[in-house]
Amino acid sequence: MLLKNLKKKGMAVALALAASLSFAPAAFANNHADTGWSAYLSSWQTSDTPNRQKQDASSGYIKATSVSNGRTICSWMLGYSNEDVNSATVNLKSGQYQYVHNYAYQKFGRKQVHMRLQHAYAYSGTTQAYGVWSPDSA
Amino acid sequence: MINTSLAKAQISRSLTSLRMVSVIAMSIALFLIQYSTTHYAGFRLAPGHELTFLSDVMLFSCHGTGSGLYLFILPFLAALVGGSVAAIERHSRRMSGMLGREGRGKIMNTSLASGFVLGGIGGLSPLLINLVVAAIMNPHMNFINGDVVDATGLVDGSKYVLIYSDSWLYPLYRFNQPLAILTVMLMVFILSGLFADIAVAASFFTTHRYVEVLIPFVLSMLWWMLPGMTNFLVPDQWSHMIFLFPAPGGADSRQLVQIFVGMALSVCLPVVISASLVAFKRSRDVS
Repeated sequence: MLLKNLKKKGMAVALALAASLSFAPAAFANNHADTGWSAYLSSWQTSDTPNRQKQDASSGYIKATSVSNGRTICSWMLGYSNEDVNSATVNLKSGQYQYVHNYAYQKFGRKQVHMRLQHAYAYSGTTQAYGVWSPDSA
Repeated sequence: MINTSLAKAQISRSLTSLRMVSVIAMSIALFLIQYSTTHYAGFRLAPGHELTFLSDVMLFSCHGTGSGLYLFILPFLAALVGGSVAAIERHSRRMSGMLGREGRGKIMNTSLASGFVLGGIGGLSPLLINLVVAAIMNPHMNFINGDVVDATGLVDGSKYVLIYSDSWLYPLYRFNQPLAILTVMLMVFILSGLFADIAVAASFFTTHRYVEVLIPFVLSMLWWMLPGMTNFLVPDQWSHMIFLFPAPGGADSRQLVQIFVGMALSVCLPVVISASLVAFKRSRDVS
């Protein structure tokens, strides 16, 4: 009985160790996994991606997988409450991607941020766009 | 034929009018909007680039919202300065005397000619004022490389870009910057002059004051909205609001063709509209 208990405890410890080891790289990595965004842009209106946490001083990343009708959009990074993070502004067409230089981490430390999207031109009507982004880059 | 002394009088009267003063005030407001939305927006321009005064000039800088606003109200500015030359003569009751002396054809041609020049000046004023102020503030004109996209689609966002390399203006900008500036100025002048001529031609039919000033603006709005209304049978690039703003680039080979078609249409259509209105007015007066 005692041996059985020890065996069970030993297995639990081993499992816990294995689990913590398997998650260890994620704990040390920044937030560079791609997540999707989509937007309907009209005239001068802006659209935001969901917020994600900025975890280091690397550039953000954004890819426009598709921008309808061959249009061009621009994007830049802002803080959770639209704080200025000294972000670069970037232009994107379908299939293009960019690293977005910013100072969010230097100014605020770990901080929820999002990318703001807008037409690069004063287009009439709406533009459908979608792609992926991450607050940090690898 | 035109009456040059009447044309000179119309031009000098309009250039010293309250309308011209309001166009200058709007030009200053546009420059302030362009400057503030370039330097105090929620983004920062890439640091350490070569200096050029064009970085604060509407149409030549892809940053800031002044360019879009400028092109939006361009037909209104043009018509405000040049579109009412004939209407002002009529409302001040000078027209009937002039018609007796000169004949309707000559008065119409003179009004169209002076309207074209005045519209060109009115439409060009914001860009000209912006160029002069920016050149005084930052007297440099270095070339900024706009070639930042590699074959995989990665855009080098660390570099400052003034005009993207896939813009129709970029080859000219790379070849000779003053020539590129003059080309854009000439295009703005011609289109503004033609917008004003639509207003002048329309004013031969209007009875109320100021109505003619709004007509080019409304027509330009309809033309701009056509892509959405026709499910993009009419491309964005046919509107002056897109092709007169070359800085953001983004034009593939098909869109470049559409831009040049748009430029040709933007010259031909106002000429056809103005000429048709004038011809209709003449035929109606004869019959």
